[in-house]
Amino acid sequence: MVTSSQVKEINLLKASESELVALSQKHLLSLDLKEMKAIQRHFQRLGRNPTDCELETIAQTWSEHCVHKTFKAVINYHDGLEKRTRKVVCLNEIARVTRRLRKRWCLSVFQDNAGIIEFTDGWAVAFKVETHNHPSALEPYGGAGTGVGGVIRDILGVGLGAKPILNTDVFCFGPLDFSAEELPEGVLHPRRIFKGVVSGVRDYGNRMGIPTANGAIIFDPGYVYNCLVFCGTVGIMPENKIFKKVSVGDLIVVAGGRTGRDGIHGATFSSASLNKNIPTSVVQIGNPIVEKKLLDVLMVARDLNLYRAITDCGAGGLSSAIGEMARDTGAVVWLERVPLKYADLAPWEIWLSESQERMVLAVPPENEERLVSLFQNEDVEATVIGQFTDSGQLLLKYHDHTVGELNLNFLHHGLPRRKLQAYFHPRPPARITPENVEWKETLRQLLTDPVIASKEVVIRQYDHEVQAQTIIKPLTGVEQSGPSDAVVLKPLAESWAGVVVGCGINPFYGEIDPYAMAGCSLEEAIRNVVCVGGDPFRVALLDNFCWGETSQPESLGRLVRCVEGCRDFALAYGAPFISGKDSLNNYFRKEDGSVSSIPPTLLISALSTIPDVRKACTSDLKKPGNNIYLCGVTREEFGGSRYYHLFHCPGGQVPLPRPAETRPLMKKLYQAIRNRWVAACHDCSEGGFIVALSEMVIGGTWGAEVDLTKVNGQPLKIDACLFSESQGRFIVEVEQEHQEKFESLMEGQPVGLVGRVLPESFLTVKLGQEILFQFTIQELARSWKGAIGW
Amino acid sequence: MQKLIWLVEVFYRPEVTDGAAEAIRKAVEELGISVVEKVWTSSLYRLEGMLERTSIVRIARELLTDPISQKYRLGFPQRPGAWSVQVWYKPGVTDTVAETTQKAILDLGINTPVTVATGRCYFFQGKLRENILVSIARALLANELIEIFQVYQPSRGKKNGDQQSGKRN
Repeated sequence: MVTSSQVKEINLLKASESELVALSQKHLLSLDLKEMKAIQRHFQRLGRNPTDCELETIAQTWSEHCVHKTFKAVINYHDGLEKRTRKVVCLNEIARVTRRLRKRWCLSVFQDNAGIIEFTDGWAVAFKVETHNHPSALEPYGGAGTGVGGVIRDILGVGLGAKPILNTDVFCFGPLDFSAEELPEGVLHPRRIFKGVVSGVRDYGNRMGIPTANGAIIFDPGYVYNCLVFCGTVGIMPENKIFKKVSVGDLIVVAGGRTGRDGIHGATFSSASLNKNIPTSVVQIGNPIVEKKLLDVLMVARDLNLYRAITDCGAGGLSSAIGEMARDTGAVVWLERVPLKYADLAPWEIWLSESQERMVLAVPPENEERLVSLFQNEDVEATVIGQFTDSGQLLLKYHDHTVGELNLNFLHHGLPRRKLQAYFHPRPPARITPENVEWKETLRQLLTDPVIASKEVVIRQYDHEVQAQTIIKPLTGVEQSGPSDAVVLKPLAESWAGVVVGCGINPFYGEIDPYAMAGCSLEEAIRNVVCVGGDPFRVALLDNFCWGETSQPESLGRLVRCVEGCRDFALAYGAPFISGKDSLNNYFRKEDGSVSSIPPTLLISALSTIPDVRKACTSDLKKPGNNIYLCGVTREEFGGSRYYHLFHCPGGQVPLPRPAETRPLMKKLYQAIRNRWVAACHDCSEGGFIVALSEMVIGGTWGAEVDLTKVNGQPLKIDACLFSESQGRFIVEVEQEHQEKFESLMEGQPVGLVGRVLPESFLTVKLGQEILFQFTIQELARSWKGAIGW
Repeated sequence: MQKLIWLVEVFYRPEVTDGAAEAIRKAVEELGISVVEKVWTSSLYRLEGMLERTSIVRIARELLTDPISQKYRLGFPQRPGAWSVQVWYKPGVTDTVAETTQKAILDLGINTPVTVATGRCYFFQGKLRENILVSIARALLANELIEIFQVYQPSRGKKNGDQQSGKRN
């Protein structure tokens, strides 16, 4: 029986504007007045009030998390550089890149749970990166763990399902030594968040048997109140399994974990700002063992063609999953059939719950018995809870009572498009520059900067060997202590072809120039791929925007500027976007009403291929006597650099990528690596040339001598040679027997022979004949490896 | 038979390093609290069902304890002279280890319905007061959004726990 306490009618028809706003707040709907009025008008036309189930379903489907209202909004954007106003839709700008580039190897973009590109021999790879910021800020272990679990399910639910082969993790935290006294009530200390998040990612990924082998960690006071947790998963699938289609009459089957009260309102909650009054129910706790069993049985069911479509239960739970699958058909759902963890759930709670480890399948009736029995044999629950219909309606039943009936056209197309205002004004250039710099001490301090320092303490906790496919691992060199630029996997036993994954993130540039940040992040991701031998002309990109208070025109203006950077540089590098996600409203409202927003943050992840993993390259120096080249042009670009950060110099010229200069260089470098003329390759990023070279020395445990007068881009000051973060630069080690061929290949490129690898255990930096400073390898390693403790 | 509630405590043997305890001790120091001399940790399992003592012993010995590195004890967890903090999930929060334990009990062939909850216990030795332990619990041990914690004073008289004290109606 359905009781009035289980299904409530929400009095919407006669509600005033202020009552509509109050209703949205009371039910945690995160809908604005315009959206509430659209819902009111819809139900006025129907001549009845909505039920709680219906209103909650609309709120979930229309949440920022699910439908990306800001990215789809028409923004009246005033550009302070061009001094004119124009209309921009952010999503269109990103999608335009992919449309214009028309890469035939892009198999499925922006339409499914993940982007899919062609791999080799009838196989495809899918990649998705999600954020789980709000949950991780509140319950770091559970929040980060379910972030991993969620993105794995995205991969299980892309096309007809891909097998996860890699997890990636990128985090932004507050400084680990942040003063505890400064934290307001309800905010966890960055160190606790750091440990909890890493443990959560570790335990979910390791227990699922998926290697976690690529990532980055950023520390900045801007992330004290809102940490960022980006979780990515790469999956492999046969090319003939990349499309799905629901047929009318298919049964709706929910498989995997049971449904409880956990995680209710996750989608709407993630669309709101954080404060100290958060209900317990928004927190989800994951169970990787359940998801592992689900993964294994799904792969079998997929290959037996037992289902026609699949998707994951993520934000919004069944309401989002079934609402999305039934978009072009209709559906009836019998909520009382959903397996529950405990008995007293109201119908709307069953429908909205974000309990983890659940997938929804569209199963032809004739396959029901085989599918359910297969799942039972593998100890995974699979239950028929409804059927797809041709009604165009989403009908929710509970013990024969109708608890909701929604028009799918209204649900998916009724959301009023937002119209927003934004403006961007460039910041004035900095006037302070570092003075009386002691080079050796500066390098030492940069190596201990947590943004630059070794993340070994984190990396070692992840299993990056499981599945036995990881060719280039996160740490490299004779003692496995140097950093790798990207991960290389060999996912097929019968092929030498490899998958390459890298990433780029630098919010410090975004504070000054979000356009340049977009370019730098994008180029860094591609550079990382190139360093290990990946194909620079076959790079697919994923964008993840994390922004603060986008209701503020200035903040939104930076977002638009960043999106335009993504568009322009992706086009220039010929790298299409295949998937993306935005997490907005990452700000914290303090008790006194003041707001703390995160720095504008963009993560670009790059997915590429390498024809033969045996030709992959690492960053550690290999042999004394080899030449060291610095490829690319160094300029005085210090804005947002770690060098300026160290000396508290705000502003400055942010590095700007120059694709016309860098693309030909990448092409030649790719060829040189394929020809096996390159012994080691590493890109220059945070900290500049000398930090990158130090990392190569630490990895290789060989010394090196470099002469700064040989750095391309003269005349340069010493600090620019050492610490500028100019883009498009690679440090390349080449054996002397390949010197002629390498230099001939690189003719016309900005390549300087700056030094050589030495058998002595010193890094020696010279200016002509003058020795500027020397560091022992042990000193370098101690500084770089000892900065982040557990 | 009546439904009984049993409390099983699983902890490391003295010769085995308790890594979690060491991490907590260091973290307490980082909080600026220097009066903690020693820390121990243990895992807690609260089992409710119509279970005989023999079944509980079997569950504790065969399922919950790694006999190489761990020992178990039935009853209220305590160490002589040490304060303790127990941390448990709030009702309704998913407890995955408890779910797995329930399933594993069935796999042992014990078919009585058992409800399991899991928790953690931290023991602290030193010149402590309740408010210090509350600070430690809030900063390091429990997330009050999903967990509750309780601080217990050092017991006087009882040694190593009373095996029967965990058995309540």
